[in-house]
This record gives sequence, C-alpha cells and structure tokens, in this order.
Amino acid sequence: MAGEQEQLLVHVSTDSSAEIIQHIPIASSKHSTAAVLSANNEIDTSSRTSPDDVPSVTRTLPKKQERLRRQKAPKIWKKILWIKQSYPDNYTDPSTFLSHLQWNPQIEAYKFWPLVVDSTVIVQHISSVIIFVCCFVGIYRGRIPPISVVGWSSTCTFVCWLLWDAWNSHDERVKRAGIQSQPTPLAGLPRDTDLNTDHEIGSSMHAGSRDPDISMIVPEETLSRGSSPIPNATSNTQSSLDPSTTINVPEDNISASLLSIRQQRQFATAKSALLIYSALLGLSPVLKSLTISTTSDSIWALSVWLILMNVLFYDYGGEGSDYADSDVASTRYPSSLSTNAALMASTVLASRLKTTTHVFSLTLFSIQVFGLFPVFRRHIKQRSRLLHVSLTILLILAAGSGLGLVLDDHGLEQHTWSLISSWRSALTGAILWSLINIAAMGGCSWWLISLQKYKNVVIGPWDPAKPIVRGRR
Amino acid sequence: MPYSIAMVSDFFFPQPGGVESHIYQLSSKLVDRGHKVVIITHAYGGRNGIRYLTNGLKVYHVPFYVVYRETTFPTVFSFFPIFRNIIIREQIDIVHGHGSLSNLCHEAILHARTMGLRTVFTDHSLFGFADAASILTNKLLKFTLSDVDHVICVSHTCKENTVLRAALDPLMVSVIPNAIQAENFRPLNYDHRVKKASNEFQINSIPRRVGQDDIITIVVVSRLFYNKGTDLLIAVIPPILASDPNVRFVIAGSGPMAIDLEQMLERRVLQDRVELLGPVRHEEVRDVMVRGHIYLHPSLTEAFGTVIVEAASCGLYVVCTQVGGIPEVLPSEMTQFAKPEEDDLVAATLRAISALRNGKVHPQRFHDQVKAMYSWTDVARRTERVYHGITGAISEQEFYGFADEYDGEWSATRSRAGIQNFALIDRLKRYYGCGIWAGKLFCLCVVVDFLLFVFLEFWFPRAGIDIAKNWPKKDPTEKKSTHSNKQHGRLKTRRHRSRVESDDNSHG
Repeated sequence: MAGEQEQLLVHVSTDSSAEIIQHIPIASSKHSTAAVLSANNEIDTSSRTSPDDVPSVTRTLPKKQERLRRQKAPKIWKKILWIKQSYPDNYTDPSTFLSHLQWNPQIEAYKFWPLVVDSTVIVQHISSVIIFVCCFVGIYRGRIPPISVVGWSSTCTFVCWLLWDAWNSHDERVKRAGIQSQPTPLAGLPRDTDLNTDHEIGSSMHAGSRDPDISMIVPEETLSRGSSPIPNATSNTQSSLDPSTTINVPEDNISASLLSIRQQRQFATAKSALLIYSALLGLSPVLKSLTISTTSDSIWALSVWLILMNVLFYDYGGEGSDYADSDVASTRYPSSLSTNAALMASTVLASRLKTTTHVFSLTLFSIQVFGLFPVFRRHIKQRSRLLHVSLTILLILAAGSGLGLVLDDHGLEQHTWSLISSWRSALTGAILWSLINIAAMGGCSWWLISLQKYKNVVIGPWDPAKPIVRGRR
Repeated sequence: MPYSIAMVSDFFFPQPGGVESHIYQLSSKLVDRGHKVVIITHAYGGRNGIRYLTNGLKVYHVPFYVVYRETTFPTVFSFFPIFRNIIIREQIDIVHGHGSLSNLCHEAILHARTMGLRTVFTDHSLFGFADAASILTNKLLKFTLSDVDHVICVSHTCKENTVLRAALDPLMVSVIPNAIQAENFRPLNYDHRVKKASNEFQINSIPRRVGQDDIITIVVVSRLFYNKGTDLLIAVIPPILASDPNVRFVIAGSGPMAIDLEQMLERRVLQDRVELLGPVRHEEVRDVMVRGHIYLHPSLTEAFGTVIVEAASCGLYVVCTQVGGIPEVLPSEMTQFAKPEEDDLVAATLRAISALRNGKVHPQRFHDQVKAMYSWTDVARRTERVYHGITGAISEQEFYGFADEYDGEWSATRSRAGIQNFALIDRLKRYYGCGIWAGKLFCLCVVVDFLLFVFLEFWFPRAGIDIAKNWPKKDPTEKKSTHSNKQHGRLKTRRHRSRVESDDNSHG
C-alpha cells in the first residue's frame, strides 16, 4: 500500500508540466490563466495555495486522491448518495456543510414597554385575587359588613354589564351596516373557530364559501354570535353559569329586529342572574355547615393551594379562544380549571363564616370576581388601552390598600379601628404595593429581555417537517 | 488484516426494522470479506444466550431489563462485566455501536474505550434540538461520542445533525448510506436476461406501459405514525382520487393513526378505491409494491428512507416529501419531490401520474439503476475503510486527509479527528468539555468505569476466561456444503446453548 503510494507520488512529480497545465483548468478554471502565466514549477503550488476560488479539495486531498481525481473527470462534490463520488466518505464540503442550518430564525426581539403593558394582565388578576382575599379577611374578622361588600360589587357588576351590553349592541350595529353594504347575501356561517374578530367580515365570508354545507343557519344568528368580539370567552365562563344566554337564541326569530334580539339576551342574562342568586340563597345554609368538622388550618392550607392553582392556570392569553390557534392552549390549560379552583376556594372559605348571610355574600362575591370580572377585563383590554391601564391602576391601588388594612389590623379590640389610622395604613399599603408591582413589571420585563441572548434555536432539515393541511377535518 | 468486530445495539432480530436489517446485512457482508463479527444485543423474550445466524454470525442475547421500545434500562456500569467477558472471549478489536436510542450501544462504547478498544458508532436517525426527549438523548450522545474513534451516518443530513448534536469534528464522521438487497426487490416481470438480450426482447418484457386510461395504483407502505406523515396522507387521498377517476390506492401498514385513515375513507366513501392491507411483514413488502405504479412517501422526517429505494428497485415511480435525507437518496428521474404540504403533494402526485401516462419516465429501468447505486457489499467495503482508518492500517494523513487545513474552523470541535489516545487523562479531558455540570459528572462516570475495569481485571483475570473458537472459515476455493459447516461449528461450540438458525425467510 505504502509502496504504491510512493510510486504514485513519484509519478506525479515527474509528470511533465504540460500534463499538469492540461489539468489545471479542470481543477481550478478561474485560476487557469494566472496559473499558465506563472512559471511551470510554481503552477502546482499556486493552484494549491490559492485561497478561495480553488475547490478546497485540490489543496487538501493527499496526492494519491488528487491523482485519482485528475485521472477521472473531476467533479464537484455533491450532496447526494446515489452516485459513488471520488471523495472519501468523511469528506466535508465547506460550502455546503450545514448550509441549511438556521440559527434563531423566528426570534422576535422583545421590546420593553410592550412587555410591561402585556404584564398588566397578570398584575390585574393577582390584584383582584388579593382584593377577594382581603375582603374575606375583613368579613371573617368582622371589620366589613358582608352585605356592603356584595352590594358594592353587585353594583359594579351591573354597571359593567350595562357597559358591555352597550358596546356589544354598538358593534352589532356597525357590523350590520357592514353586512348590508355587501352585495351578496350571507351565504353561510363559518365554523366557530373561524370567527376571528369583529372586523373580519370579509374573511368569514370567505370561510363560509369554503364550507357550503353549513349554510342553513340563519343570518341573524350569525350577527348575534359573530358580532360579539369575545363570543367564546363569554360562553366559556357564562355557559357554566347561565347556559341559556348563548344557546337560547331562538331560531324562529328570523324576522325579528336587532333590538328584540338584544332585549332577549338581556332577558336571558337577567334570568340566569336570578337563577344563580336564588340557587346561592338556597345553598348557603348547606355551605355554611359544609366543613364544620374540619379544622380551620386545613381550610387555610387548602384555600391557599386552590388560589395558587387559580393564579397559575389562569388563561392570561387574554384573547380566550377567539383565535383558532389558541384552541390548543385553552384545551391544554383549561381556564375552567382556574375558575373552578377559585370557586372551590371561596366555597371552603365561606364555610368558615358565621351566618348564612355571610356565606351567601362571599360566594356571590367570588362568582363576580372570578367568573364575570375576567371576562370584562378581557373585553376592556380589547376595547381601549386607556381604560385597561386605568383599571390596572385602580386594581393595584385597591389591592394595595386592602393589603395595608388587613396587615396593619392586628385583630385586637374593635375600638383600635380608627378612621385615621386605617387611612394611613391603606395609603401605605397602596404605595408599597404599587412600588412592588412597578418593580416587578419592569424588572421581569428587563430580565426576560436580558435572557434573550441565551436563546439558541437551531433549525435544519433534520427537524420533523410540520405538515400543512388545509381544513383539519 | 481481518478484524474481530462486535456490533452492539439494542435493536436486532427478531424485532423488524431498519437498524436491525442494517446490522445483519452489514455483518454478513463483513463476514464475507473475511472478518469475524459477533452481534451483542439484549434478550428478546425467550431468546436468551448465544445464537448463530447464517455464515457463522454469532449473536449474544444478553439478559437485560427492557424499559421502553426495546431499549434496555440505562445502568451505566452493570453491562461491563459481561461485556468484558464477551470481548475477551471473542478477542474483539473493534466495537461498533448502532442507534442513538440504544442504551446498550452507548454503554458498550464507553466500556470498550476503557478497555482500550477502537470504537465506531453508526447513527441511523435524526433528532431535533427542542423537545425534552431530544435534549436528553443529545446529552447522552455527547457523552458517548466524546470518546469515540469514528462515527458513521447514513446520509449527509444525518451527518450534519450528528455533528451538531454531539459537537464532533466533521472529519471523524463518515457518510455511508444504507443499502438494499436488490434481488429481493425485483419488479414483477423482471428477467435477468433482459440486460443481455436484444432490444426487441426488452420491449417484449415490458408489460406495464401505462396507457392514458389505465388504472394507476399508488402504493403506500408505512407505519401509520404522525412523523410518517399520516396526516398528509389522509389529506391528499381525496383530492387525488377526485382529480383522476382511474387511480387506486393500496396502503399497507398499521399504527395509531390507522383509525383516522379508516374514518376518512368511511366518511368520503372511498373504500372501493382505497385498499387497506394492514400490517405486512418485511418480506411481503415487495409483493405489495409490485402491485402499483407509484410509491407515495409522505414522511415528515427521515434520515435515509430505505423504503423509497426499495420502491424504486421494484420499478415504482416515487413521490416523496423533501425532508431530512430523502433528497440525497434517489435521482430526480426516479422521484417527484414535494414540500410537506397538502397542495404540493397532490400536485406532485398528479405530475407523477401524468408523467407515467405520457411515458416520460421509465420505471422498468429503475431496478438495474438502483442495483448499481446501493449494495451492501459496497457498504461493507466502505465500513472496512473506516476500520482501517481507526486502527491505523491506513495512515492518519490519508484517512483524515485534510485535517490540518481546517484547524480551528469548526468552533464546536472538541475531539479532533485522528487516532484517539487511550490514556485516561486524555479521555477525561475529552469528557470534561461536555458541559459545566455534565462534564464533571461524565468524568466521574469514566473514572468509576476505569476503577471497575481494574477491579474486574483483578477479580476475573483474563487468564480465567476461555477463548471462543472461531467459526471455521470457508475457504473460497474449496466447495463445502454449508450444512456440514454448520454441524462442525455446532460441535465446536457445544459449550454454549447454541442453535443454528436459518435466516433466509425471516430476515430478507
């Protein structure tokens, strides 16, 4: 083997320069003129040491392989397996090796302020949970009359609902105007997941034309369902409370006007509210004695865990299942888990209270805080940035003062609860809590941005392809 | 110089599969080239102990607890005593591990390096970098391949993947494709004499010239898993059938997504145009393939894609997704490539149908072309060159060739290509670079492995281990019947619970 190789070496070196010249254009066509111009002895070396243009094989292959390459028609190395190439198996072509590698292809650079704005969703939820807990502590210690708590919250809920209803009907009117301006009649209703936003009439029309077999649903229903900007988010929470709202849109109401539909919905909401109210009223005595045989310690621990679960599994994505792709996320971490955990926490907490009125008030309050308020918050976030921010500030301040009041109150005698000291503690709590929140929002956003430099996503042809299939059905 | 090679993998017959048949075919061709090969795998059911396959191929089925998908439970050291025993008994020079999911293979490479043997690793699959399973596997691979002499990958894409995953010098990774036994994948009316015969004869023997209105059958042979692209398959069948009334499907294979496929057929009422065969054995694949004209391969990831080579060898025109190593495998005149998208795959299939109808492709020539492209003999020859390289039979300069030119070009390089040193301190240096915590942990493992080795040398000295007699080699000039040969070997190795197995039917 070695002898043969030496022989080949000798053969190469004693080759006439003419033969070498003859081969150089093949080996490095770009350098051929330069090579021919230079002296014969240097030709070989010049073709070897030219840095860029010469295929790197020429300079790097040992002489035997180089010789082999010259005898056969020299070919550029190709990234294929079906022909036997004159390169060794471990040959690595510098120009094609890892040429399909993509490093951090779809990285989106986070910006500071958008991150801070997005984090308000979390702050809002945590603050409202804290408000609930503070109210419970207040009621439990007898500082706050439960009726006033539930009265205020019910008033707020009612106002919020009026607002929501007004917005909805406004949207409907806008949408209706949009539809009537369309030349073609509404052919069909897209699937629920295809309902994107309130502006997407055109796309829903398009989607409807794709699925002509679902076209027997009345246009009015399209209006009432499609126009609500948060159709599924609403039905998500409300359907657990009042399934009648979304289901009971009557089919025979084709000729009914928009107003009557709105009234009908209002009536349905009022009906379900009444239902919940009376059900709670009836259940309260049962709830009161629910955990009478359990020690308070276990209840505190249990409710802490449940509220943690609520905070952790809450659907901060915000848009709910409006978007088709968030379907997956919402099935993976169902927001119903979060809501149910919170309701269970409030139930076991309520069972610690003294009278039936207390129990009823706290449970109703928890339904408002955990069931209805998130829907409204989400709606506000979509609706207006200003309202969203001011609601956040309001919530932070309320949670802070609640914390201040609760923590400063050492549960001593009744008469230490003086007005001035409570104002002072509330103010301190609000300021401290706002500072903590600002620091956390800013700090966490900054932290996330600074962590981005460790991001290292490598994508290449070895990754399983994502099949693109139309209409997954 | 003949080598004694131990092929180590969790995956071997009786389990069917690509790695399994690769090991078997490569080993038998290496035996034909005069080497001695033993295969070490874990026990499959009652198949425990030593078995012989054709040609004196010896298989050690080591009893091990199988934890998941025929992979043994990863205990880093427990394999060492029996492994050392086998290595000494069989006088092994080279340990060749297969499959990055095979725990047995990783352990064997570690122990072999501790014992001072040359090691080769063959990677058969592609892994991403994102999901948890891949991250774990990649770390384990990095550990094992920190100290390996050479790595073989089945395609260039696989090589890029492995180099990235294990942070290797690309020069110590060779690309040696899989192959097929072309004689097992002949077209329906293939005649040996066609090649020699005259032109008229050739035309006579072509029965399957597809006319404009003939029925075209599309064959799919695939396990019905997500990553085999069953979603795509389900999506493309209705539009293809709708656009051409003279198309039929034959689908072989089973898997968790078979139910989705059946549901689609029932909903669209396509049962009379799509035939589901259910699971078929590997030796029946050819009989299924020759029923069709087009082979559809909608896979989402594939390191090599042996099945499309088999299909082309059977004379089928191949429609496949352009993923992984597939574009490297077959030339464009045998294939229609598509993006892994429903619309593109439908379009590619329709292109293929019209190309067949218009006689633009000549599938009857595919078999001979494929036969020239891929053969196990060639694979064995190229693998042998790797063995020569790592043992120093061909010089480092010739094997790695241009190693010095690329010095420092690959920043990920830890272990340089070249003859790997056995000194413990050098090995520790290589392992230490695996990561902040992992490097120290791996070093600890290596040190413990070395101490275990010293202990074993002391407790079970080499002198106490019998040397197994080699299988009596057939002299190429001498015509001996295989039967008497087997009997002879059986007598010689009576100490083991041995059984001669005919493999012709079960492993083809």
